[in-house]
Amino acid sequence: MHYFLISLYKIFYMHIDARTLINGSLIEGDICIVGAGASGISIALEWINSPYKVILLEGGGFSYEDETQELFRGKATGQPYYPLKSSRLHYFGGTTGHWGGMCSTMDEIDFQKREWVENSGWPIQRSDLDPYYKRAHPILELGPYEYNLEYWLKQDETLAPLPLDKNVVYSKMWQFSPPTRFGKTYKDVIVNAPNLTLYTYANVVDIKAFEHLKSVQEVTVKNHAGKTHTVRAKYFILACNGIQNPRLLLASNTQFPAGIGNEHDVVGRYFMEHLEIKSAELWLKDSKKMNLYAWTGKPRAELAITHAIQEKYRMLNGTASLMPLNIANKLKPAIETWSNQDPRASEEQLHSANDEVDKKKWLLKLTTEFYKSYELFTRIEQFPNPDCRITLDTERDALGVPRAKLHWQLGELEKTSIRSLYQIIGQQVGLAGIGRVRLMEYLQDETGKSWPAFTGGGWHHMGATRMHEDPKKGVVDSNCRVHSMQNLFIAGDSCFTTGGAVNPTLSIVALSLRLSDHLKEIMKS
Amino acid sequence: MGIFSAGAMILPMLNCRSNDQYNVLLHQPTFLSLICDENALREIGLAYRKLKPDEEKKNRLVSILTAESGDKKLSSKASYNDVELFINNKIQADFEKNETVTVKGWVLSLTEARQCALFSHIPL
Repeated sequence: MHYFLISLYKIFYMHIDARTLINGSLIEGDICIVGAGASGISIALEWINSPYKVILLEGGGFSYEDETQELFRGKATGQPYYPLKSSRLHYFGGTTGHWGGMCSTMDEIDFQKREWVENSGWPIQRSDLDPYYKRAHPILELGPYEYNLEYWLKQDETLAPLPLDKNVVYSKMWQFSPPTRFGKTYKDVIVNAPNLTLYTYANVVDIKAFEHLKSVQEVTVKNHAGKTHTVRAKYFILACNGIQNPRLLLASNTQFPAGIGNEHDVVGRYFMEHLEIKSAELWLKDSKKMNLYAWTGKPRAELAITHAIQEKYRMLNGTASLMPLNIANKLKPAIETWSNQDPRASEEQLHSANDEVDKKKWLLKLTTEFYKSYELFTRIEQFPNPDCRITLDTERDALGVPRAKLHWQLGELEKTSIRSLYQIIGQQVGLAGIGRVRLMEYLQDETGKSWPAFTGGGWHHMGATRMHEDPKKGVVDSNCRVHSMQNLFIAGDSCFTTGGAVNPTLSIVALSLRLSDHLKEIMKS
Repeated sequence: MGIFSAGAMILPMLNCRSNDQYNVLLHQPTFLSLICDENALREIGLAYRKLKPDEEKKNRLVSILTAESGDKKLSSKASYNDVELFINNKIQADFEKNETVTVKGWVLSLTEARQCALFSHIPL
């Protein structure tokens, strides 16, 4: 009966507020996508006008509401971290509602098994993602699929790279999305899609398997209006986010005591962030304009270490950003300013703390003025550490789901890798005769294990449902399918086996498109 | 540690006996002095001496700094240009061979770190 009513409803509305449905409604379709962020929306777009009924579930509405955001509140232990509640956005469009738009591709080495990086090695290669990176570009409103420095030098001859040996230190290119706010950009196309129904205020709180426990039968959705509904589909894709994906698997423990897909105690483990931290100074003999490395919203570069040198020094993959030192010294560290549980307040704090630096003015200055000293700021992967993990807290959210608990742990390899990064850049800068590099104090003591108070992350939540061919070492297979479930897939950076040196959004969308193609093949057969 | 950008400094000529130019060039990391002030150079020098106790002595430092490949040594009567060229080549070769050392955070060629160490022997 309820299904009949929903079918009638859907003739007129492709968006349904789940709070308005009769309690206990049954929603059915071919594919159910859980989560409408970059990943979920990218997949949903792929299925528009297909012969399949697609259900897109979003926990929030179309804009920020604290009641919904509160569901993301959690605890953090270990290395100090941002409040979990404010590190993701919980409404249609997800965290693209406030992301910065930085995009670049992961490197070949990121996918390889590196003997010096424990637990590294994806079951896919960079070449497997290449066609999807290209397809992800228009979704993120990026320029041409070009990350080759030579290409960009031809477009703008003021983008001169530092004269370093590119066999050792090279300029890794980035592009900037406007940034695409998925919630605004894709709302109309999603809501008007004839074969797709978006349900807002539909928070998945439980996943239930068939009796044979090999595939998912349904998910339970709830909202603050006190409504509980059931969604059935042939295939399910969890596209919540890097913390909520493992949380939901762990919390779905009525049939599986340790949670779905967690037969080998891997769900939630291997959580990785990008360590983002100021690390060194570059002092030049002569003042230079650094258009190629400047933050202007145009394609820019960061200094990166070639694969051969990473191998030689047994280091993680990371990059160095350049910022004129007098400007950088005025910026407060993100870990200090992004401290409010409310993401709007944290964002406000981040900007107001840096009000002293007029953004427009310094963006202009960066490309018009010459500077002699620069801050070198690191973004570096973490090694996949099983003890760095998401677990469930004893406290539950308003919908009855145990809250997430993050234990963020940094290791020695991260520190030695950052040190190596700047010793290599320092050697190259010296060799080029252009200046000298000075490491910050926390990197000077080679025996020191502590991290300074300004240590931060990039708000990138990777790895906690990682991809690995061995179910004992990963939650999903090379097609992002949960090993032990025939029809449950996971999308997003929680599937990353290692984090690479770049912000994850472009790779998230690319991997989601690949998953979507895989599912299309399955559906065909 | 102070850092300034005014240009190369002129080091004090203390303890220089027969050949001032020779001594000055040996004691002065020319490139680094474009970036670091006298105090900073001295601090680097003291830190290097602590890091490498076997190079603590002034004579030892002079001996290493003036050594060419093999048994050859830079003559104490070498011209200013010859000394400058000799030291600069040595620094360049250090960076090429990755013979660098991190002292007080600075990634330096071994030669210029030794120059700082020698400089730190000059009384204030």
